[in-house]
Amino acid sequence: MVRCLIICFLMLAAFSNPAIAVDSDSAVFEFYAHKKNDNGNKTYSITYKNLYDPADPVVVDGKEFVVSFDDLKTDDYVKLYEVIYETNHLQKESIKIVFTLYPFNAVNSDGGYIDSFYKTGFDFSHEIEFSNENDKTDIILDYKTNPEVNSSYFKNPDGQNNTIIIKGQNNNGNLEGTLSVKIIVSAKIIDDEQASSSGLYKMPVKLTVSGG
Amino acid sequence: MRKAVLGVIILACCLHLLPALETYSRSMYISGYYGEYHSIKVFPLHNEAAIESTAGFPFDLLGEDVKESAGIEAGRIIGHWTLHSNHPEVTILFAAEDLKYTGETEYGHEVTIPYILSFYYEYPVYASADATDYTIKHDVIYVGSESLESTETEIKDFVEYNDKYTLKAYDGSNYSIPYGINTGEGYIKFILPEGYDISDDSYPVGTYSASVQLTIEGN
Repeated sequence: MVRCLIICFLMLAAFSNPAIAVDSDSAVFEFYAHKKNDNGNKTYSITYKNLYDPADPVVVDGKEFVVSFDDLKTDDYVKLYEVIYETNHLQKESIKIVFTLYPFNAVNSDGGYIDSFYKTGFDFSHEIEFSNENDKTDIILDYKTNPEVNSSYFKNPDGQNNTIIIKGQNNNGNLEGTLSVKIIVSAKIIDDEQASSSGLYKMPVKLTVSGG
Repeated sequence: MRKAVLGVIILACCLHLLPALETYSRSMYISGYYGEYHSIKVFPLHNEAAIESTAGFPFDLLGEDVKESAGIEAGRIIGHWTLHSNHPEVTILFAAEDLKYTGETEYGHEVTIPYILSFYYEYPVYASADATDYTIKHDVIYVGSESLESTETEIKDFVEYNDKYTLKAYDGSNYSIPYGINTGEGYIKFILPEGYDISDDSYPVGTYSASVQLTIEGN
């Protein structure tokens, strides 16, 4: 029995030791590279403005808007916020702006949430203005949004990512100079079947801008 | 007696003046093989500050040094490799991933860039069992997109990048020679194939990465 165990052990050792017989070997390596900008210095800036409440002019990522529900029940869209993106290099890149909308939430006098109007429909509109200092006539803008935004209508705005992609080019395929992109997001209530309460409502919004 | 005592005293003084003995040790690692043996190693030339230099990675994909149009010397050295076998004929299998954009894209799909890797090697090829009867073979193995002049925009996937190359330590059909293959260290170069314009904005600015596997087998 002991002899059998010793033989088994020796056989195992012989087959598991790679130094005895190696019939193949392999090596793996990873490499990485960068694609850099090719136009030298690049500048860009992003400015947010709270249009609804000028007293709170800067809207930062994740900050909540405080909007009067009654104001949004008017016929006209209420301008909520504005994003201005300026860059000297839209030639090879695109701008991606993602804004995430959440439900308007009713707040009580202490600022706490008391209700959410998930069944209230809001219509958000985007006004986009472009200006290019050198090439105003030839500019062709490839402006597209994701399918969710195409309808521009959110029955239940509950955390959807709404993406606007802007690419700029002129007839030569290039866009020179400085480009300014202004996006104004407005809203109004179009279905107030559940909107019986008046008062303040908060709408958290997350803005992310990349590119340039 | 007096002389003997004097001798002992002198010896003791000498021993006292000798420096204290220190202990040194060295070790060495020995490996051997029995039967068939293959070894393949890659030494990536990783250098975080390499973008503006002439070798290593990361590097600028728009740089002149990676362009195929730079001619026979085209390519940027990103590492070295070495192959050793006691077998007179071996097969090397290359499996390479596409060079993929590592960031998020707005295009809704992966952004990949085709590339070619060149592996330089040299080793003696024997015409007979005489150890002095050999010539040095030196060549380059190209791995990657199908053609250095390809203009197709579709990029091959990982499976299609798989390729095999056979190296022989003998000349003609003299398979029975007792010599194996030892390539020493050869360079690995990255080449961006002609016909692909990655300056186009469909290739976003940022970091791209790829993984490459080399496997050696005896024939």
